[in-house]
Amino acid sequence: MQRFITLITILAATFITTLAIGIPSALALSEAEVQEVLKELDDRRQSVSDYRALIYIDQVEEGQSDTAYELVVYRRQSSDRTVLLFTRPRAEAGKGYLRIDRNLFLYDPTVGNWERRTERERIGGTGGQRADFDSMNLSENFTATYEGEDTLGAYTAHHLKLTAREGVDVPYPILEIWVDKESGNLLKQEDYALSERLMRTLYYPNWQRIRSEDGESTAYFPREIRIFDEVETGNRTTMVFRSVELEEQPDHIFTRAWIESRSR
Amino acid sequence: MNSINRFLIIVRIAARNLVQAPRRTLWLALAIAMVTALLVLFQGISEGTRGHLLRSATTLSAGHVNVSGFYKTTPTDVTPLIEDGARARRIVEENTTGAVQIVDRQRGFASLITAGATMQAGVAGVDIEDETILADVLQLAEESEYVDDGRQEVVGDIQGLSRPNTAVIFAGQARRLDARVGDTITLRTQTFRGQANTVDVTVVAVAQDIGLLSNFAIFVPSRVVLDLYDLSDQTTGALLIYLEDIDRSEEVMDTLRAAFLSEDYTLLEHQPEPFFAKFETVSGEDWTGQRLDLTTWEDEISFLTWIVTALDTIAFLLIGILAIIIAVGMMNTMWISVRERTPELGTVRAIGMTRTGVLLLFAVEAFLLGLAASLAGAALGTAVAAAITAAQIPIPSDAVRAILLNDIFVLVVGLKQVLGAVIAMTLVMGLAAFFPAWRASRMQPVEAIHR
Amino acid sequence: MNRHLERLGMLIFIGIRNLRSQRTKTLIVGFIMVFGAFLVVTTTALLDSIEDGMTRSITGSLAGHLQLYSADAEDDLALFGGQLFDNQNIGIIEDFAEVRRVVEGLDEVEAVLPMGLGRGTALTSSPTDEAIDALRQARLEGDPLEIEAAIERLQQIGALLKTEFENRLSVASDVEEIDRALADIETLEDPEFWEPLRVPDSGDLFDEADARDSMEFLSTRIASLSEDGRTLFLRFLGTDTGRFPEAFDRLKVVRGEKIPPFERGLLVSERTAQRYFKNRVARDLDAIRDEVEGGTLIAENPSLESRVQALPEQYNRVLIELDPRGAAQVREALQEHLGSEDQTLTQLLREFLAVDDQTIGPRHDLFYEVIAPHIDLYAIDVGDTVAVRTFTRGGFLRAANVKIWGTFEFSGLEDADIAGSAHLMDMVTFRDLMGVFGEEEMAELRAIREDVGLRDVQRDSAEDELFGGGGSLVDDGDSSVGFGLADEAVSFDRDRSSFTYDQQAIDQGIALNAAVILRDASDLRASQALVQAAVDEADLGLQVVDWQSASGIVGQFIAVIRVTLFIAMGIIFLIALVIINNAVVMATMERTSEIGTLRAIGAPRSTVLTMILVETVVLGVVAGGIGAFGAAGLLLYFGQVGIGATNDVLRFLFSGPRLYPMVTVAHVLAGVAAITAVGLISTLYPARLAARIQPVTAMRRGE
Repeated sequence: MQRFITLITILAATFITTLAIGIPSALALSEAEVQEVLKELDDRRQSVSDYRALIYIDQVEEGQSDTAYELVVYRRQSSDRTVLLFTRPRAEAGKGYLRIDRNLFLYDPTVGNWERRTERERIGGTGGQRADFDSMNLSENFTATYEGEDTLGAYTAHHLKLTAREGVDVPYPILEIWVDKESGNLLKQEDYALSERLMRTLYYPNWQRIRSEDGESTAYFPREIRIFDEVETGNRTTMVFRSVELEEQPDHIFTRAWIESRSR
Repeated sequence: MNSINRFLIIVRIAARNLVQAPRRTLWLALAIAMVTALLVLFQGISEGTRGHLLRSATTLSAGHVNVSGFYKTTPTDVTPLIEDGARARRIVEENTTGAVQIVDRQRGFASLITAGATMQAGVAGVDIEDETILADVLQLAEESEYVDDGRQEVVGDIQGLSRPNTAVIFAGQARRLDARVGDTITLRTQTFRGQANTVDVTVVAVAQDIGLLSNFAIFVPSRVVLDLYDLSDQTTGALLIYLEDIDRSEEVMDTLRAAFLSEDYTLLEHQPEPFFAKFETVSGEDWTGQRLDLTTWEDEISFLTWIVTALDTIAFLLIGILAIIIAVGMMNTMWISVRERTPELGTVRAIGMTRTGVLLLFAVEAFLLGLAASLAGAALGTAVAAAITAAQIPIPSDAVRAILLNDIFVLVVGLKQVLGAVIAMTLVMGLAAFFPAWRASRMQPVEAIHR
Repeated sequence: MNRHLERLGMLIFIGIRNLRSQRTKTLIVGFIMVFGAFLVVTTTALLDSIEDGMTRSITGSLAGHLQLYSADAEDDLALFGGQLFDNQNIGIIEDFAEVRRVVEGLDEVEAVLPMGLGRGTALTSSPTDEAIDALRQARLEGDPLEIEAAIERLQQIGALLKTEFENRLSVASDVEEIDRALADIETLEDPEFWEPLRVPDSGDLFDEADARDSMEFLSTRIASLSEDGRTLFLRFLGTDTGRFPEAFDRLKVVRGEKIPPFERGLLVSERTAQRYFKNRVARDLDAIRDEVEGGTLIAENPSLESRVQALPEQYNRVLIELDPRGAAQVREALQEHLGSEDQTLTQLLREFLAVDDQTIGPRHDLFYEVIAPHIDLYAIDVGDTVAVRTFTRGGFLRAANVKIWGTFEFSGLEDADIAGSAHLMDMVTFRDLMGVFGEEEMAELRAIREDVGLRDVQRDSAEDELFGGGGSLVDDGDSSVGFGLADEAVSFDRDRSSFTYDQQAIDQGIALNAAVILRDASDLRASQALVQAAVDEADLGLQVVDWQSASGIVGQFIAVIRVTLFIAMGIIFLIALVIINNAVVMATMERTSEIGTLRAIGAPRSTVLTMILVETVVLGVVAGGIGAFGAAGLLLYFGQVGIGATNDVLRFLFSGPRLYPMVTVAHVLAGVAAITAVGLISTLYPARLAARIQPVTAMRRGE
C-alpha cells in the first residue's frame, strides 16, 4: 500500500509539474512564431503592391494653437521609394518628402530648396514620423521576445518587446507592441529611447482592408492612428487614412522634379 | 650699542606706544584690517574667475597652443580645417618640447534638437582615446543633477565616444533639452552654402557644468563633424597642444610658427582673437587653399578677459579710494601721537636719541600697526574666501553668473596675493605716517621740553 | 523762535571758529568729506545717466512700459535673449483681440500691441541665379549686347566654379559627387553649348527646344552647384506694423518707406543693415572716415590702425561683384584718381584701399560715387524679397518670402545696439513662420475634421475609449473620398502677396507677448498692478511685467551695477566713518580743558553736544559742498564733451559711442546730505564723550 501511494504521488507530481511547465509554454509563442507575427504585420502593411493614400493629420499641442494638414502618401514597391506630398492647407501645399533608400529629403517650395532629414523627422512638424505613414519593416529591423498576453479594453493581445538590430537606423530602438490575437492587427505601440525612456504611445483603434482593383492583393491600413507624446505630455497627433488606393504608381512621381512641379 | 639692538629697542617702544593708546589704535587697526580683507577677497574673486576661465577654455575649446586651419575653396568662402591633418600633426610633434598632450579636434557649430527644445552649441569632434586630459577634467554629473527625481549616481561613460554617432553633453544642456543618457539628439548644422545637414547622436554621458561656457559646447566623435560638413577624414579642424608649463605657450607658438613656415605653409598674421572671430575677415581675403593660424590660449579667450580686467579695475578703484581714506586716518593718528608725546620726545632727544631714531620710532609704530592689522585682515579675508568657496553658494543673479562665468562663488586666494596685499597695506600706512614722523624728528629737544 | 535762531547762529559762529583753530582735524576730516561727496555725486549721476539711457533704449524701441505674456509660461520673457541665448518658451496669447479690448479699455493705457520675437536666416539670391535670370531676360528682350554680357558672366562663374570644385577635391568626403559636378561644369567650356543661347528668344517652341535644354541645364545642374548666396542671421519682431510707428513714436524711416497698411513685409533695422548687411569694404571705409573726421589719427588708435591695415586685402569683396562692364568703368575711374596707367584692377583696388588720414575723405567719396553703384552695397536691401527661414521648437523648417520695404531707426537711439536689434515683420507673416494658421485655413481644415468625424481623445482615457467597445477592428476601406487635390498641381503663390488682410486679421490671432504703452509712466508699479487686475478679472491668463524684468539679462545688468555701486559706497562710507570717528575722538580729547572750561562757566551739556555736532554739520556742508560742486562741474563739462566708450561693453552701457552724463540739483544735495550724515553719525559718540566732560577736569589739567 505504502509503495502504491508513493508511486501515485510521484506520478501525480510529475504530471502536475509537466502541466505547470507545459501550459504556459503551450500558450506562449515560440521564437519562430514571434517572428511570424512580425512578418505578418509587415506584409499586411506593405503588400506587394504600390499604393497611394490620402491622410488627414490633426495636431494638438499644449500651449500652442491646434493645427491640421492633409497630405498624400505615394509608395513604389519596386524602387522602394516613398513620397509624402502636402495638399492642404494652402500654406503648406507643395511641401514634400522624398524617401530614397534610407535617405529622406524635404522640399520647401517657398525657398525652392531640398534638404536632407533623418528618420526622426517630425513630418510637417507633427508628431508623426515617416515610419508611421509608411511601414516599419519590423521583421527586418528588430528582434522580438514574447512578453505574454495582455487585455486591451475588450481585446486580448500578444505583447511583444522589440529591440533594434545592430547598425539599423530606426527612430526608436526599443518598441513594445500589442497585436490583436483575433485579427492579427497592431493595436498599441510604445516607443522607447535607448535609455528605456518612454517617448511615444500609439494606438491603432481600427483598420481597413483594402483590395486592389484587380482583386489580386489585399493590404491592411490603419483607419486611424492616435499618437501621444510622452515627453511633452499633452501633445497628441491623430492620423486618419481617409482613402487608400492599391494601384501601380508611375515612376516619375518619385523624383525631385515631380515634387517641384507640384507647386509651380 | 649695535644697530640691531637699537632697532629692537625702538620696536619695543613703538609697540608699547601703540598699546598705550588702545582706542585710536584699535579703530584704525580695524579699518586697515577690513580694507586688507576686502582686498584679499577681491583678489580671490579675480583669481577665481581667471582660473575658471582658463580651465573652461582649455577644456572646452583651446589648448595652451593652438594650430587652426582656414581653408578656402573659393575666394569668398572659408572653412575651419587643416587639409592634411597627419602632416600638420607630424610637424607639431617634431617641433614641440614639453608637451603633455597633442590632440586633434574637429570644429563645428550646430543646433541641438530634441522633442523638448532646441539650442545652439559648438560641436567639438574628438578622438576620445587620445584625449586623456579631457577625460580627466570632465567630471560626470549624477543623474539627479539634470533629471527631476533622477538617481543619485553617475550614469554613462565618456569612453562611449569611441562608438559612432554618440555625444557627451553638459548638465545644463541636458536639463534644457530634457535629454538623458541613452536619448537621441539631432544635430543640425548649416554649411556656409546654406545647406542644413543633420546627424542623430546618442547621449553617452552627461558632464558637470564648467560654469556658463560649457552651455555652448558638446563633444562628439570626429566622424560626426566630418559627416555634418561632408569632409574627408584626411582633414582635421585644429591641433591643440597642452604643455607642462603653461607659461611657455608663447615660446612654443613662436617655434611652431618658424617650423611651419620652413615647411612651406602660409600662416595668417597673428591676431589675438579667438578663431571664430576671424571667419569674416578671412572670407573676404582673396586667396584659396590652406593657411594656418597659430594662437595661444590667451588669444582664444581674449573675448572674455575683459571680465577679469573689469573686476580688477573695480577692485583697484575701490581699494585705492579706501587706501587714501585710511592713509589720511593714519596720518592724523600719527600727528596726534606726535603732539601727545612731544614732552617725551624732548626728553628722549635730550638724552641722545638721534633724529633718525625719532623718525624711526614713529615710522616703526606705523609699520607695526599696518603690518599687524593687515595680517589680521588678510587672515580674515582668506578664511572668508575659503568658507564661501567651500559652501558653494549659488550666484543669485543671471547677470552676475554671466559675468563671473560660473554658477557658484569661487574665490581663490594664493600666497603671493596675500603677501602682496599685506606688504602693500603696510607700505601705504608707513608712507602715510612719514610726514608727521619727519616733523617729529625735526623738533628741537628744547622745544619739546618746553611744550 | 528767535532765541533759538540766535543761539543757533552763535553756535555756528563758534563752530566755524573752532574748526579754524583745530586745523589738522578740520583738514583731515574735511578732505575725507570733500572726497566722499565728490564720489557720491559722480557715481550716482553717472549711474542715473546710464540707467536713463538704457531705459530709453529699451522702452522706446521694443518693450514699451509693460509687457504681457502667458501666465503659464515655462520661461521668463527675455526680450534681449535668455540665459542660454535661446528661444524662450513663453507660451502664447490665444486671442489678442480680447486682450486689446480689455487692456486698451483702461484709461491709463494708450496702446497695446501684439508682439512675437523670432530668429531665422535669410538667404540672399545666388549670383548664379541672378546671372541666369539676366540671360533669360536678355534673350526675351532680344538685345545682342546684353546677351553677350550675360553669357560672359556665366562663363566667368563657370570658371570660378571649376576652381572651387577642384579645390574641394582634396577635402571633401564624396569624391564621386565632386567629379560629377566637375563634368557638368566643363560643359560650360564648350562653345557648342552656348550657340542656341546666343540668339534672341524666337518664341517658337520647336526652334527653342535646344535653348530650352541649355537653360534647363543651367538652372538645374549649374545653379544647384553654386553657393546659395550668403546666409544672414535675422532677429525679427512680429508686430502690428501699421500701429507700431504711432505707439513707438521715435521710429523714423531712413531709406525706403514704411510697410503699407495691411500688407506683408519687413522693415529692416538701419543699424543692423549698416553693421552686418553692408559690404565689408564700404563699412570699413565708413568707420575709418568717421573716426578720422572725429579727430582720431590712425596712428594713435591701434584698433583703427589694424582695421586700416587689413582693408586693402579685402579688395576681393568689391572685385567679385563687378561684372565686366562695371569693372571697366571702375578701372578707368581709379586710374584717373590714382594717376596710374598700367595696373590691373586688383592692383588698383589694393592701392586705392590703402588709405591714410588725408586720403580717406576723397576716396570714401569716390567709392560711393563710382564703385558702389556697381556692387551690391547691401546683401539684402530695400526692394528685395528675401526668403526668411526659421525652425520651430521641434526643429521643423518653415519659410516665408517677405519683401523689404525700407529701413528704420529710433530717433535719439541711432547708435544704441539694443534699440536696433530686431527687424519689424508684419504679424501675419510672423504667424506663418510660427506655423500658426489663419482663420481661413483653420476653417478649411475644420471642415475636413467634421467630414472625417474626428473626436478628441485624451491620453488618460485613450485605452478605454478606443478599445472599450469591442467589435470588429477591421472593415473594408472605401474610396469615396477622392484624391482630387493631389492630382492637380498646386498653383503656388510664392509671395503669398494675394493674401491681403485687415485689422481684424491682425488682432484676431495669436501673439507671443504684447507691449503696453502707458499715457503716464511715472508710477510703473501702480500701473502694473492696475493692468494685472484688469487682466485677472477678464480671466485672460496673462502675467504683467515691467520693461526691466522683461529685458532679461540686460535689465539685470543695470540692477547689478546699481547694487555693486551701493555696496561699494557703503563700504567706503563705513571706512570713512571709522576714520572720521577716530579723528574726531582724538580731537575732542585734545579739547578736554576747553570743554571743561565751557562747562565750568555754566554751559549745559546739551550746548556742548550741539556745539560739537554743529561743527560737524558746518564742515559737512562746506566740505561736502566743495566736493559736490566740484563733481557737478566736472560732470557738466563731460555732459558737453561726452565720455567715449572704448570697448563694446561700455558701448552697451552707454547706449552708444559716447555718454553725456546729466547732473541735477538732487545729486548735489544728495552728496552733501550723505556726507553730512556720515559726519554726524561718526561724531555722535565723541560728542557724547565731550558732553560728559566734567568742569573739574578743565581745572585739573590746568592748561
